[in-house]
Amino acid sequence: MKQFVEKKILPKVQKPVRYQGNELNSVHKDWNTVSVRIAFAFPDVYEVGMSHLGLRILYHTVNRREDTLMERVFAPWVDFEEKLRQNKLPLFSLESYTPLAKFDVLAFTLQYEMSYTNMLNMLDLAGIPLRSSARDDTWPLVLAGGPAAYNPEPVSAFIDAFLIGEGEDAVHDIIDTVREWKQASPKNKNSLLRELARIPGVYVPEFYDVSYHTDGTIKQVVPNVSFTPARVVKRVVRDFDRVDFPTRPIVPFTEIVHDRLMLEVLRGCSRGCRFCQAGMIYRPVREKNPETILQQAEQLVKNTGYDEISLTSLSTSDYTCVEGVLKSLVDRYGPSGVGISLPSLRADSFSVELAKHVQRVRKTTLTFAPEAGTQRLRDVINKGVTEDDLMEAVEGAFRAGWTAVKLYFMIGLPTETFEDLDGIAHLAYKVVDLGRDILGQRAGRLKVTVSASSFVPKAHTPFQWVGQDSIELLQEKQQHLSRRLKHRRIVFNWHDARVSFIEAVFARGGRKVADVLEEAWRLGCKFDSWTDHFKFDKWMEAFREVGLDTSFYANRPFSLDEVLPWDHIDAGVSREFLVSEYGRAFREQTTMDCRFDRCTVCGVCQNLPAKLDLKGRGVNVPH
Amino acid sequence: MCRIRVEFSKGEAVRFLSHLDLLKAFERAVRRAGIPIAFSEGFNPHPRISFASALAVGVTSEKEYADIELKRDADLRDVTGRLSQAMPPGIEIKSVGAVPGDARALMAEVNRAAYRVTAPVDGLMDETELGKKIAAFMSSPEIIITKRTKKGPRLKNIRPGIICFEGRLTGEQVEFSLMTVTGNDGNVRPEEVVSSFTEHSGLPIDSDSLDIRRTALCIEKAGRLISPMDISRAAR
Repeated sequence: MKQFVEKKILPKVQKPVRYQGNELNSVHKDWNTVSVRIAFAFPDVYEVGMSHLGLRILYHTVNRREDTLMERVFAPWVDFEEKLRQNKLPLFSLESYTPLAKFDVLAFTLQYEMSYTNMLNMLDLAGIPLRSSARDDTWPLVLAGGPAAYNPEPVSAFIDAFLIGEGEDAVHDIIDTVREWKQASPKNKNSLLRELARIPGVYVPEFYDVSYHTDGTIKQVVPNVSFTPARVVKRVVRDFDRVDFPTRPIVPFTEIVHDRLMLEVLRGCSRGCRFCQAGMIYRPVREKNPETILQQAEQLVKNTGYDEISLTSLSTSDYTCVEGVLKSLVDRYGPSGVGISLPSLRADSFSVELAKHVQRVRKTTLTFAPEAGTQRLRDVINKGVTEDDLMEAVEGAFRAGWTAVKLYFMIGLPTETFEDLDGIAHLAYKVVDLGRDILGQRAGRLKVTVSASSFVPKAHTPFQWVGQDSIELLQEKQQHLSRRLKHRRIVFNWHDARVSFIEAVFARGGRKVADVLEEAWRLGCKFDSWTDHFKFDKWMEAFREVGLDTSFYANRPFSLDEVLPWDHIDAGVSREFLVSEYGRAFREQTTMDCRFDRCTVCGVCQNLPAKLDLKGRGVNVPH
Repeated sequence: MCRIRVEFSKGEAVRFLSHLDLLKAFERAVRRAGIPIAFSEGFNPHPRISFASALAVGVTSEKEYADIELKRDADLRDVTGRLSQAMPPGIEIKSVGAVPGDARALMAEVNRAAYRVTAPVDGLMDETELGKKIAAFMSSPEIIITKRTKKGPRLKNIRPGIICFEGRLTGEQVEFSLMTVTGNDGNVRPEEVVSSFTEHSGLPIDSDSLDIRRTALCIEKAGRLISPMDISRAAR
């Protein structure tokens, strides 16, 4: 098959290197020497999937085991898919060109809801039945994990078992279980699922029954067997400093989205933005020791030859040792042409100072995310950034030589009025004025990009109960902003509200929306996060066919007494904390970050076997 | 500062790399090898590597060339060893030589490329007929092809750019050997030659499934072909 693909298919498709799997540091193991074979499936194209650190970590962690191999597979682009279907070839793994159906485990990562149709398409291309109930033990065990798995219900019909939370430790428990099961006899799929369900953090949907009230809301979700917990608690890495980290990552031949070394410096964020799912589910904050980071950086550069190291996390300027680490890295690697970069900047002057030190090359654009246009609304969402912070940051950027800034906002946030939207325009114009004053003669290069995404309520956040604005209202808000932001120095971008709407349905949906997903895929939906491929009319047709009311999931405010589809999943953050934060939001009360103030009793350090772990003293403490 | 010239092959494993991909692979290998490469001046310093000629996606090559500028003199044997080890599978370092300071850029020098192209034959064909057709093809005063460009279709006479063109049958396939101009003398691609020949001759050649291998890149000077590795002669 490999020869056929290389001779007959690859020369005819775009970017054939996506499908070759022989990059430097890719791992090619002998199938006969291992007992467990896993395919890691990323339901988007190679360039997106290879930019995902989670894939890199698990690939490394699993392949370090002698008894197991992990290979990769991505969603093939439409031209490659067409060739596979024409030639009746099954989707295969990159490393050994093995059809996915031959693996013991097929593990999907669910990074965003709009990749769900790709997941179904990949199963179909592999010739694997979509529904878990249609697969016996002759098919691979289909697993899923990642942030979207925190509301697993919309895809629970297709997945045999989910891992909730961090995978570095849990993946070993899963592999051990699969290996032992393979050696046992007699065996069947049910016996494997029973063993998996005993692993902390593993959720096996078929062992839970959902019952409904007549209005369609959930009555209860209860285990239908004795050996599973009422709530599945997420897995969390206790010692983040010592956990396995890939220092010999694959070096793609072709340019990927984040084409640089990824060095994770801390995990979690406790700033407490109330819309942010990552800020809730990755708690507690755990940092790496500066020495560990320097050692890993050295290994990474030596083993890959990359010329850029990105210090990744949800908010790297919050790392307590960030200044010292940056200085050491710049001193060490600057002379050999290796740059250091910071992926996301908080809108404050401290972060801009950091950026000034590391930017070997003055890139033209600096990005900030004030998220909302007025202080009132920023207090509602608990975005601890003031207008002064932003203006200081922008001033610092212009003075340091940047001529373009990008401002990220979210529209459709709870309690938002048109005054808040005008606040966005006000900020944008203030930045333009400041830029003109500072840049003087170079003001001709000034560019302020305003980007507005639409709020999508997400599970396990204080805003999980909030209904999304209707598509029409979101579009009206976009139009309003578009009119306000007509200026030759301002570029205004916004996201398709219809995509955000479908995203909200799957972010808050329960088991019933699985039928819609499958129908939409049958109607041809795939690559939904790709503008050219999103087919809104097909999605609406799918909802009509199945007979589900979209607004029930996306736009309806959920009642605080309602059982939520994901209530049997425990992300560590307690319901009491989320309810309290929900209340404080509407009272416009902010909540401090526990790194700089007292514990907020969010539940994570109280309930999970992990603690807030800082390696230095707070450096960027708000006043 | 000194300059070295590297002769390397691009094998099956890396045939689908674009020119940019290959450049990146080289830059990273050089960094892994710890070779003291020089950087360009300016705000956005780039490692100083230049290639003789871009190779199309899907084409393999027995002989490609790159010049690398170093910050300081380096032992050639040591550089060869370290580069060989650092290259990804599929790129093989054949030899490394020092380039005199006044030598012209590789890209300005290399003006001939040789290829071996195989194509499936779907029908009956014999070698005599093939030979006759090739002779007829080569005796045409001009061979016009239509090139699709951004500004629409454009006509191009490729005949002056075909230096030699031969073919023979091997089982179910036809194997062509050809030499065309490249670089400053213009550029004729091997698939252009083979598909216009197919059209011209009417022979049953599947020119849609070509397997192309570059067998040489060289410098034509006063009627003689010189290898870019023959640096002292090439520089003269």
